[in-house]
Amino acid sequence: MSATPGGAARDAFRSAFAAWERAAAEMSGAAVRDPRTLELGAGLMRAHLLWRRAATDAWAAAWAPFAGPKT
Amino acid sequence: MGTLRWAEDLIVVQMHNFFRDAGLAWADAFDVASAHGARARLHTQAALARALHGRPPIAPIAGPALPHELTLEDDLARLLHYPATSRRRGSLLIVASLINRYYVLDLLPELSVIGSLAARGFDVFVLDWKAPGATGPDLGFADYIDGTIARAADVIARRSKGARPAVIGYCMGGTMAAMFAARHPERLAALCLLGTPIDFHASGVLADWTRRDLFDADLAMDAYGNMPPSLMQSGFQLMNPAGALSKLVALARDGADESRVRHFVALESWLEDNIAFPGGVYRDYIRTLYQDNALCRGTMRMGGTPVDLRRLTAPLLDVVALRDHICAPPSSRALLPLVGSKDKRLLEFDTGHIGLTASHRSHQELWPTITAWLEERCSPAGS
Repeated sequence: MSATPGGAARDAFRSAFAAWERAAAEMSGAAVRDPRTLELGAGLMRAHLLWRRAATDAWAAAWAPFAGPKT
Repeated sequence: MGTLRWAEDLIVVQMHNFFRDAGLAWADAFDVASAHGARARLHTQAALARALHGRPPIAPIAGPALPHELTLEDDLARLLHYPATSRRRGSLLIVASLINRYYVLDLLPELSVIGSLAARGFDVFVLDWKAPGATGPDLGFADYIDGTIARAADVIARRSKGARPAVIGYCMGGTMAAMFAARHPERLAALCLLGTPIDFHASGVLADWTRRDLFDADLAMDAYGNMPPSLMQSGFQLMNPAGALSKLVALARDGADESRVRHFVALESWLEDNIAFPGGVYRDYIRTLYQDNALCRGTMRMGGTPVDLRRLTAPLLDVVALRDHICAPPSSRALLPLVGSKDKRLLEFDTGHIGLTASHRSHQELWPTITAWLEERCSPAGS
């Protein structure tokens, strides 16, 4: 503990911030394991990947007429 | 006409391949530029934090801290050499994760695992993985383990007059080092693993996220070719969303302490300096290891032959971080009962995944034990 008023404020901030960090870590730890979060995250990721694969395939298809038969 | 058509096809096919390949290579170039941008941003944040306390900015910090030389280079990696700086005790080969740069082990002159090992008489060799580029989707574990790692071990043994190196593996590099030790037991003197996942079904939140019903690795690689570091990093950040704010508050609070600010900039710059996960290896890593848990179950095959951990007979030190959220402790602990080594030890330390190599406390309390263990099992030259 600090003897000065500024030091006391700093100590109070540190302990409050440490408590917030612990609580935030616990909450986020629980959230990322929650089955609903997992389902939602998996759905969003799948949508993103499908979109990205479609874009990649479209790019490849745009070149296909010029590429000729594979040897 | 036939000849013209053939020439046209050839040119267009080459152009097509060029653009496809340039896509992945450009992606790698983007990753490098992005890492430089992040480093500049972190130096700016550090300068602001220092200014808050009326102090001058810190000197720039750029990548690996200590001088080293290039020993060998192939398409997948550079083998770097940090020479021993005292009476020679033996050689070490460090295998880092495929997606992270190795220099978390050489972060700052005063906080360098490699520097400490070299000061204790070890010739330290480290594999600096290259960005996979256009070849990434076709690469497999065998290219790295039976190819680059085995070649590096042979080169080190030749330079050490036949003495085999001890191998240190960190994170995913540890998993690869364990597979290497199981497939090539004659090529290493000892094996030390740090924060290494082996039982992937016990590896915490990453095991949940990569469940077969939730994540399709083939779709991801069809979409990207190689797994971009930005996508992986966003996943790691999701594990602790409050972490980014906490770090900034701590930086502002500790701005007067130059050593803390240097540590912040060096570590955060390293965290943002990643390379893409080679697509072919990523498919295997997720499907075979995370989803099938094949290494732990003894069903993994590589290049048509099994990876049998019972063939890992080298002396083994398995270092587990008790607060590791990337590789949960039970995932690492699972290794010891699976191997054939008679000389094996589990060493547990109260820190996080990165704290194993990048914290002052681990340098003071953990690494002296690891170094002593290595000294007992390494010889300076072959007999």
